[in-house]
Amino acid sequence: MKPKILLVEDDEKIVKALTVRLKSQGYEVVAAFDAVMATSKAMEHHPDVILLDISMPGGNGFTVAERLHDSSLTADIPIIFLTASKEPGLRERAKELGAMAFLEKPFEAQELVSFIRQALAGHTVPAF
Amino acid sequence: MNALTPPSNTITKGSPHTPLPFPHDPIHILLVEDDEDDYILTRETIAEMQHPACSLEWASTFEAGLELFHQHRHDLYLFDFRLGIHTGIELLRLCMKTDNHAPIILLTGSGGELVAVEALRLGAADYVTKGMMSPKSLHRAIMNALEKAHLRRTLTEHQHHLEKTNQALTKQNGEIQRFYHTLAHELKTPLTAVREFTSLIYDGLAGPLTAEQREYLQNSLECIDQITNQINDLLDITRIDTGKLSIHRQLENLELLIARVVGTLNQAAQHKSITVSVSTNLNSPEVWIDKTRMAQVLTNLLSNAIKFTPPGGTIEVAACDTREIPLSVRLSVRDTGCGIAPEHLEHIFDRLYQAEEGHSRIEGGLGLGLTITREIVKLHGGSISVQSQLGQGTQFTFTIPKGKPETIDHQSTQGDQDET
Repeated sequence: MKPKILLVEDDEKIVKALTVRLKSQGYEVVAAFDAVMATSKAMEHHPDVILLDISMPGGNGFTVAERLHDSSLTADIPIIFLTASKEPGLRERAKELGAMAFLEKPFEAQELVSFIRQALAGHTVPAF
Repeated sequence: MNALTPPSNTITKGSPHTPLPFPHDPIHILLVEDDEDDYILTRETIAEMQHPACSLEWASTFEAGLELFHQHRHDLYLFDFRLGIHTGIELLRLCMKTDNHAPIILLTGSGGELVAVEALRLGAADYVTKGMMSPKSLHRAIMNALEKAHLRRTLTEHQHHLEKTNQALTKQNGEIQRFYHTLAHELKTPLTAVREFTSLIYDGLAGPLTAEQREYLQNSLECIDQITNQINDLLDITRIDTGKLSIHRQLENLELLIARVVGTLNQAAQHKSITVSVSTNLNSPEVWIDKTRMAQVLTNLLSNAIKFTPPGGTIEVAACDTREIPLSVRLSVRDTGCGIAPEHLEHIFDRLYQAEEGHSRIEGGLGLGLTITREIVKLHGGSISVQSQLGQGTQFTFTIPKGKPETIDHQSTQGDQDET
């Protein structure tokens, strides 16, 4: 069975491009465009990895991560944060929330794919 | 209550816009004095001062004096020390708690030095010994008190103005920061899509490519990364301008960090047949640094070196312990590039220096990289310098303390720590 990735991202073009990339790597992709959809899709699909944007409508990636941690159904799913923001403290906050990795946009696809592989293998990402 | 001349309503001293008391300005005085003879004596002394339009109002009790003081109608107050069962000191103490800051002069009997000292300590502008009161001495005391009060008001006004300006600037700084963060976010979001779509084509996920097409896309990807770096530099410069650039130090392996940065830029160096060598001589590679920021410093210096070194040249990256206290590490990046002219060398870390007309370009892009580099080194409690000879090459050297920030000799880093 293909590993399932939940991609939470409000920019449709980024979703489109990353979906092509992730499918080419043999993953199944489920997309969510806002905070509410992110939580419901995570509960519904129980993905193997979540790629989570930080700024999004209806909340932010951190509140989504907190909600997912609070539910036993989703608490153990590794999260990789993606953000175009350089606000101070975001990386630290992501770390506090137990994220697997933190990637600043724009990023190299290879780096993202490498983080996903490590997350699927159950590794903590050392480059965090 | 008696008055020498009717109180003038046109005088509104006590307001923050009182002009400097010129010798001929009208003065409206309140005397709080329970002895009528003494009031008459004071009234005559004031009349003899021959100050134009000087009016005196008299309050014969402590209570009346306090009530009139609250009316803010007078330019100056004369309190007698003896006021029935009260004293002028008690009245002074109460008056100093109000928002009427007009000057108060205490009138004391002879031998009242202790009272005078107490009055001055409580905030009286001056004191006058009644037995020695002459028109000249009283006039001098009054004019001095008014001038002092005026200066104090001007100072307070300036302080308020500065505080307000400071608050406005702090608010503006915050708005500028937020604007740049939003701008960066809005630019990087489409840039992420551009990079990924370009990357998909480059990787052949949209069909096979010719070598030429791949080369062009490679150029596109490099340009996208350049734009990203420029946006990040702009954000950092805004942080420096608003005092918000900060670092988070942790114990990191410096050798691994150097290897990672060199590894990332090795391809660009190889592209120009430049040899990059690394030599380290550290007792321990563990150093308290902000890993991301230190990587930024090394990347800036190394990518500049690659840019200005001709094909076939060499670049040496070195790190060694120093004998300095606190225990420090010295890092250097030396190239065999075109070098920097002496007239530019002293300005090389200045922001936007290369943007000034007539200056040849020292580094790529906006020329912010070296300013940011210096700030990051400073935030680490270190310093950076450059040596260069035209046609021979350039060496950037910086030194940073190795230890945990709080265990390093406080004095050596305090100035820089305050900036964080």
